[in-house]
Amino acid sequence: MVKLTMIARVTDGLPLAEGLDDGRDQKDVEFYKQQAKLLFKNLSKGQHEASRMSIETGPYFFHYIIEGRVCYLTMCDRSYPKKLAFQYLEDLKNEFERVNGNQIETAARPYAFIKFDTFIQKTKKLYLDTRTQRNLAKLNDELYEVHQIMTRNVQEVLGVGEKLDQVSELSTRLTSESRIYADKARDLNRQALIRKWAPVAVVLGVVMLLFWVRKKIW
Amino acid sequence: MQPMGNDKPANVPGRPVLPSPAAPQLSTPFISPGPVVGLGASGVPQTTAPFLSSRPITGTQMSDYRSPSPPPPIRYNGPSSPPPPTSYPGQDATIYQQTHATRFPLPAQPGTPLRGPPSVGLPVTPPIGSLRPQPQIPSVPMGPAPQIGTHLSSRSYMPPPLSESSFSAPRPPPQPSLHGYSNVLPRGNMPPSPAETQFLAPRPVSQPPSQQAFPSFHVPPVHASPYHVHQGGVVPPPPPPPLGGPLGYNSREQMQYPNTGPPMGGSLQGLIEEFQSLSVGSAPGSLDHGVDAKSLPRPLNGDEEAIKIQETYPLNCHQRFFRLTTHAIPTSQSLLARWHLPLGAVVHPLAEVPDGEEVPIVNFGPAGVIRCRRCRTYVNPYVTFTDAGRKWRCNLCSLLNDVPGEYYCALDASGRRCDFDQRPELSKGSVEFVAPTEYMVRPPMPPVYFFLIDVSISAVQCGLLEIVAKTIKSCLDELPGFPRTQIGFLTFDSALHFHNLKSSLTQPQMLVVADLDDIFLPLPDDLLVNLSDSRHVVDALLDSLPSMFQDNVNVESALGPALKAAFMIMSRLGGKLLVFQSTLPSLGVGRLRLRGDDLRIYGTDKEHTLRMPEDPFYKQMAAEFTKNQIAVDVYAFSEKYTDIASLGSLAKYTGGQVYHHPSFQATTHQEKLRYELARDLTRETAWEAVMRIRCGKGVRFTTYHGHFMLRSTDLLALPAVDCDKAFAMQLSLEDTLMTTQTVYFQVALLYTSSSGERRIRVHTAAAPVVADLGEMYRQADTGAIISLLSRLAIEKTQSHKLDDARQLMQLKLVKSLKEYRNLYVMQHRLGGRLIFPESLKFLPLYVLSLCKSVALRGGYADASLDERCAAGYNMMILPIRRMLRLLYPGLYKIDENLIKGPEDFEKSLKQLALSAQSLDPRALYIYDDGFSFIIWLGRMLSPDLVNGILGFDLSGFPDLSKLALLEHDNEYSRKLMRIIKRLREKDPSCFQLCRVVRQGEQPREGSLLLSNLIEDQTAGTSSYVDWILQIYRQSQSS
Repeated sequence: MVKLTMIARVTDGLPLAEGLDDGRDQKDVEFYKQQAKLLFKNLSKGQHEASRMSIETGPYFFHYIIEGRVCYLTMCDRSYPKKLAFQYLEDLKNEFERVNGNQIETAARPYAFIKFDTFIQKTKKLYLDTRTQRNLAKLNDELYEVHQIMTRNVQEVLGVGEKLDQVSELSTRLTSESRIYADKARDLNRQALIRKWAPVAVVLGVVMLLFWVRKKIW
Repeated sequence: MQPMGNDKPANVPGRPVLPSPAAPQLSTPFISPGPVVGLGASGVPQTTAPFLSSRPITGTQMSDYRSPSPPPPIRYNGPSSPPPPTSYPGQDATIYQQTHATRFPLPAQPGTPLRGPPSVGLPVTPPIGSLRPQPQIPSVPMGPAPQIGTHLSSRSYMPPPLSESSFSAPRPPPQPSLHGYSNVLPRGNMPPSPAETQFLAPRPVSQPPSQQAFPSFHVPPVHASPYHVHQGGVVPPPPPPPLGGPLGYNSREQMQYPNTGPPMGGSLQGLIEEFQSLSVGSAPGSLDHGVDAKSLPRPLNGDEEAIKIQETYPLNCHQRFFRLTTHAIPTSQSLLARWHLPLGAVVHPLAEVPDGEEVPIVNFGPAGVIRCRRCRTYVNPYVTFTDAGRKWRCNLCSLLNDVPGEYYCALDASGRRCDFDQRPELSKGSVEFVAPTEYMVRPPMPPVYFFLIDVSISAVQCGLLEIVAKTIKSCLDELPGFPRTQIGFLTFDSALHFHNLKSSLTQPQMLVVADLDDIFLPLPDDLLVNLSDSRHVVDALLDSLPSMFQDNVNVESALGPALKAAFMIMSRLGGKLLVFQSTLPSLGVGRLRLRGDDLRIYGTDKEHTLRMPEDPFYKQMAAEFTKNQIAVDVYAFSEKYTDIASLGSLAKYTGGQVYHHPSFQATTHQEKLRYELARDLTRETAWEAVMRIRCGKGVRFTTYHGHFMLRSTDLLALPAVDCDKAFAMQLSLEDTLMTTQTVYFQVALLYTSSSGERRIRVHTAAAPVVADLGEMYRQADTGAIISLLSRLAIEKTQSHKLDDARQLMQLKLVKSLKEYRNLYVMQHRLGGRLIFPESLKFLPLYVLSLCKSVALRGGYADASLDERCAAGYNMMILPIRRMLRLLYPGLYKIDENLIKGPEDFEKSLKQLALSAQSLDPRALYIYDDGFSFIIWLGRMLSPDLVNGILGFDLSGFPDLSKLALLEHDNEYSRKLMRIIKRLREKDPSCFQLCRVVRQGEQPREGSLLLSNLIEDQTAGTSSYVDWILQIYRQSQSS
């Protein structure tokens, strides 16, 4: 069952439309909405992602497709057939492109196409029950292939940016540490030198002293 | 998650700020209007208790006002500053000292130019650490659900540090007295210059009355003669000061540079005050009271908005959006303590604007809205750009902010931005910003209308149900927000009837739930549906509703459970809930009892409980509604008691409105209901709104009055707000001595428009800080003062007796006039005169009519409790213009227009004084208070005219109360209708129901018209003349 539907522009993560009263019974829907928004942000940073993907999060799945620089995302139960979810997104995409296709790039304010939510509502209702004749037919339709769509975990996806941060942090730490190491090494080198030549110097000094004393006495 | 932002080159001089992707995130939303925000303990609005004297003041005798000092306002510990006037008599020089001294700035004040940036106490460089963008989004996305909106809002407003010491500080340094100077000035210095005509007082005897604003003053010779003596030996007159508008400004200039002009100029300037006076003196014991009723000031030309201010401060937002009670903020607590009227503002954020003056819309795009980092002020015309345009200084908190790269523009030679003209936010006081995503906790909601309709026998019988159904049906096409608009219906009597409006149905299904204790929804969906999808079902329902309940004999009304059910349906979206109630709620939770008719409770300490909600249920429901962005409009119809006090609290805390139609009858009232409901449904409404008013350092808004819920100390939650609602608020001073020259105010309303756009409407205004009480009086705004006063009075009636509220109003008026008198009276020898500033000349009249208004008048018998409460709720939201119209209604004589019929009604309609003396039995009058019209037929009016208008003969003494005025086929009737139409167009926010009353028709004439002629003496109230005398006597006593 579809819990959440969001449409956003990939170039800057600007939300364009959203299903209206999605997830009314869930307490944690805000949390997942935030995750979805982070996902959009990640996408807008230009990391090349597959145009179709399923992302696992808690008991749910995010499914999204990216087409024409617009990302259509929905959140479903784990048990909801992937095939139907992507069919749903395809339906949304076709209608959205038909209605607003030429204004997508110029939209300046968030939720510029919020009027689209009525269509989202209507379409969603069609996909609510997986066992209706219509949906069963779609499920059995082999034309649409979803098997190769990658499934990843949300931590993985959202973690990418985080890891980059970590790497850069590590590298800066490495630089400073190595500088310290170099200083320390130079210091050690000097100490080793002293340790190596100190006895010889002492012996020589004593010998010289002896020579000097002998010369004085005699 | 955010690798950017840290390296912002903000502090590198000589380099423009680079566009940074972090910019949009710098602007944290100042509010989070979503349901996630807890209401907390702030649900209870603070009621105000300013200036309350603890002593009950009874009667109107002078002795009551002999208290040594006026009761100081709360939080002020110093002694009250007005020196006892008893030390003055006979010494005019002393007065010169005083006025003179107050006109010079105190030594402590910096002498910076008036409009320049305040130079005191600026943090020069912002702490570098704070340049980092605040990590809005937690970098680890797991964990407890991050309610980002709430999280941010708690941080977004940082009140300026409040110095505790300021309250216990000793009073400001005493004003320097200039002894030698005052001795030099002879008393006869008073110049008989042309400017003297302003004084009205000095020469009324010798002047022909027609040249004066208030022609026939009765001047007792006792007072006039000494003055003439002095006029003999005067020094040459100074050049006359400019009159009217520029005067205020000039005097301020004088104040600003006291040393540049000759010392004489300063003192003369002090004398040339613009004030007015009324002679009220009379020989003791004489019957003539000494006041000519005709000469009293009356606002017969309507409300003149102070255009002066607009000229002085062209960058301010228009007066219709924001009006201060006085356009001059006092420098110190002690000065404020001498200003006995409320200091505050009336805000009307969505006031209707004439065509061509629409508020411009600004979209900052990805840069985000430009706001001050510290106080979250929006960029406005008063900010100053420095550092070659790379920085801007906030005008409220004077913090230096960086200009984002996208917004950068070079400065011209005078330090203004070159694109100043192209950017409305820098050249206009009112703008609307398109809100970026950070200002939304959820996508913009669609307009939602849910109707809760009483279908019990009384509603059916009076024809209410049918009219409501028809009106809603006729408005369906005009509901805003197509195609997203949602609609739903719930009818109730002793059971709840849900209506399934699923779009695939052909006929609506009714589902009855009789269990009132445990409310449940019979359907999960389709009780609230998209209008455009289910249009045919909605039409079918509205067509069948009246017939469906035609034979209903159920007398019960389960309003409480119905509200709960409506809440369950609407809670996930929010929207507008319209409640149509025709009886007292009698079943389930929230049932109310009959409590209004207890005569004995009036006059006791428990009197106010009648005007308070009885059952906390309604307030709790209102809190729940606000949390879920639901606004409630209450339509009440019963002729019997329906406890508007309780029902109205639903509207009060949700930003709604109370429509009271007592003894509703379809035949006479249908037009009014139809118009008002249609306006309610189709006017432009702002949804899920929040409003905050920021002001500069040193002042603070303390109490707010109107229909809203206070979400935090200064954030007003408004589930829905529209052009018919205004809010009032009071100011207090934080520091003892204000250091700035100008105080700025900024009203910000964040809302969702019906078309689904999130917008921020920002109004900015500036007001000067003055050290002179006279200047405060000069800049006073009667309209704003009376609006604020009436709201205070209404709130007072909810905790005290009616009489206490009236006393409070009178006390404030008297105190302010007395203070003004102390300023001027001695030097001008104006004993025997009531003097008042030009700006407040109507205030006594308005206060009188406030005391006589339905909400405050009389006692038990003077107005029914429901009408009183409904009037109270209405007055809480009225904008200034309508408030003034209500307080001083128009009375026009129109029989000549009907007979002769000049086409130009506007000019020929002359407003008359509201007194029975204006009524001529041979004429026909129309009375307009903004809520209803009353047509008064004189006894000796020609029968032709009457027949023409009414369509029948009056000789049979028919019952005029059931009459609906219709257009008949004759010239008189057509003309009358045209006049009425024209008058209605003046005020589109309400439909003025026309009622006809004939002279001598009791008791209707008395209740409809005579009791509203506020200048007359009615039972237990004083007439205008008496009132002025009373005010005069009280302001005389010291």
